[in-house]
Amino acid sequence: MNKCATCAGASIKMKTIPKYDADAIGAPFKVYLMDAVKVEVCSSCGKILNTAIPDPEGLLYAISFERAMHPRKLVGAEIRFLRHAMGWKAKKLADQLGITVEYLSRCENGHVAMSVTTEKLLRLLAVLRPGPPDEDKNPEAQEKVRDIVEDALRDLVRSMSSFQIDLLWVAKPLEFHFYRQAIPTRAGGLGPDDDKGKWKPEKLAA
Amino acid sequence: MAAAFKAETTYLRSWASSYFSEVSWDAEAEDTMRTEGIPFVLVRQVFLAGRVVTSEKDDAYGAEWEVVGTTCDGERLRLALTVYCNEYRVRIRRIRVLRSDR
Repeated sequence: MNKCATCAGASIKMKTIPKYDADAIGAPFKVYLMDAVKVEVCSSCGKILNTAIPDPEGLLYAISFERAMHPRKLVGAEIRFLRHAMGWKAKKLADQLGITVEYLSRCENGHVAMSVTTEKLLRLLAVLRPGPPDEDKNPEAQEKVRDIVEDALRDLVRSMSSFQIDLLWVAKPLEFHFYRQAIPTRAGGLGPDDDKGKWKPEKLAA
Repeated sequence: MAAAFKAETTYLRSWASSYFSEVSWDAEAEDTMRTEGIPFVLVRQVFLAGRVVTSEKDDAYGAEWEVVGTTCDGERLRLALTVYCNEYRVRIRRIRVLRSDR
């Protein structure tokens, strides 16, 4: 059992945070995780000793997807975050976008605004990043999934070509909320200790 | 990949690219992430492409591993982890920046 580094208290309790501010993830906008993050808290001094996030890869994919599909123009830090979420070096992304590393660097540092066409391509790359794998290894099911993915890709490319990036400057910071949506089972859902859910965006009231 | 700790390195990379895992970080690691400006989106790249350099298993619950790797922005990090293989769960205890090209 861990001990608290601050007060040396040995009594530690676990609790789930109703609304966790996920700034440690590194997104340059607000990301809140609803009823999903568990923390270890020292019962004596109240210090948080450990923070546990389920399915971090799925979460990064969900955050990238939601930002890429949001019409507000990407600022430099958001371009850098999307690249980090893809795990790509600046050179690789610049090559994929058909721009120079210097231009990408200037965009990421906020010195120039990325052109609309290049930004659309970047958004497309962020969305096309491999999503969560299917647990079902059945070949027929896999074939069906491939067909669905191909249809979805065609729709995505079509919608992205007519996608309108909102160029107006808006003072209100962007904010996304995510929650864990359990995959339904015969037993009628999954408990907190058997989490096989997916990160889903929570639709906020306008 | 060096022969030493090859199995551990393979396990860690597989864990990091899985969508059914859980990551947790201790307060000390979170402090380093904030003070050094290395968010989790960069730390996870060390899991995906880094190499396990030490691995110890004593009687305590979980195994203590250290992994070294470079982020896509050139920071070389050393992470001290507790790995719970049977639960497919990793706990980041400490993060140390070995070198930064930023």
